[in-house]
Amino acid sequence: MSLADRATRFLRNRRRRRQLLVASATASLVGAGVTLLAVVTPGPVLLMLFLLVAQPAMLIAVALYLPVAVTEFLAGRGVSEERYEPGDVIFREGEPGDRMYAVIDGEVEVFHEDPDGTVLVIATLTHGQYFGEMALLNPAPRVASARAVGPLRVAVIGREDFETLYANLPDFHRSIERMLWGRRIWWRRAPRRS
Amino acid sequence: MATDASDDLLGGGDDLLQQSAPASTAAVVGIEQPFHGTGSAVDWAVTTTIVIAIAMIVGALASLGLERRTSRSQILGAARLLGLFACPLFLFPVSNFATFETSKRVEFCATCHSAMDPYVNDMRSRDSRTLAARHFANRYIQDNQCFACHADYGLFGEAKAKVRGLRHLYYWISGARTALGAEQIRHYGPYQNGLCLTCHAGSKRFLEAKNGVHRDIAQELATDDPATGKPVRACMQCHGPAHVSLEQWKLRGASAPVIDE
Repeated sequence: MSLADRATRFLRNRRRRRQLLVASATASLVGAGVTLLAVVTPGPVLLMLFLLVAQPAMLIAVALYLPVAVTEFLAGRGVSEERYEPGDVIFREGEPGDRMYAVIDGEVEVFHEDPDGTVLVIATLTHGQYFGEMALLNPAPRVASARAVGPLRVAVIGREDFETLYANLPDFHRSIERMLWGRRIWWRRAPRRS
Repeated sequence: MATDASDDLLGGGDDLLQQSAPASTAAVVGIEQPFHGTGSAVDWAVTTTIVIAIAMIVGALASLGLERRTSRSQILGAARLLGLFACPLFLFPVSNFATFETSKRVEFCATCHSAMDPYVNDMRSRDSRTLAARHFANRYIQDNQCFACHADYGLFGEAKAKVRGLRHLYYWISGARTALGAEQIRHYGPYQNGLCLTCHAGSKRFLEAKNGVHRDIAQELATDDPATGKPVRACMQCHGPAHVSLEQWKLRGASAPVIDE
């Protein structure tokens, strides 16, 4: 496997992307903090720290953020693949939705959380099933949350591609319609747990 | 012997120092900094650096804190863009300019208190007749007086000066000594006439002084002795000393005078 393939595979994992963002934010904090000290209280020791710590930290922050930003930008355009670890939340209720997902491998739990903490599991989806399409059909926030039950691999379809497929492929259109009908039944039958 | 600092820069070696009164705390008067209108470029760079650094901290903290607490992904995206990309990219050059330009100031040199106090305080003393003090008091050099005379000119002069300074800092922190046990922190070689001539050579006063004496010794001023690396005739031979020596500083009074900013 080439280095580019490894990097792509690494960046498709959402947990890894989060870790990169946390590392980037930490580097950014260190860089800004030391820089602030170096300009407010100038002195040779802080100048050395600025050179050896703050400057590399600023570059590291940008270097870690950029691949994540590009991956997430591209994920919203065209079809891409993403990986999730068990328990990872794929999206949350109330978020604006700009992509839908198809399960390639693994299981997804679609759920709703009441303000009192009661969790309503709406559906558990497996290979070949879609989720997240409702936010693309209606320009409204997500109506439910989704999380990975086990190790999960999904295909991500951005809004533009979804609309093209939905408008031009009758089979795809019908399958989405059928699925939406099924979702109504899920909502009614969904068991609640707290 | 010169009696008016603003009139004549001709020094008189030790005699000159003996004339200067012992610097008591009351005698040392701070000299106001040059007026820069709405602030110099460095002042603006420092302010900008502080503002961007604070924005960067807020952005980075928000991107960490909002990760699991918000359903507004636009806010999270904006916080990330600000704290992890835009601010660091902008802060990098601005903070470089601010810190390096600030590090040329006399106040910065004076932060190495034990080493620099005698030189800085003597330079700022209105009573002192050393060359550095007369340059400072008469504002022959407006800003960054230490750096102006101790950093080589030319393309890499400032960078070399900074590397030297950082090396001194390393020696100071690590306590590193040479194989023979000597102090590593020391003046980096004979003081070159070029540092003086960059400003003075070609000026009317320089050319006409003492019936054109500088013209007569121009060759000696411009040539270094290949054996020692020292100028054949150093400016300091006639105009020195540049600074008070440590021994003379102690004679003036053991405690360092307070600098009135």
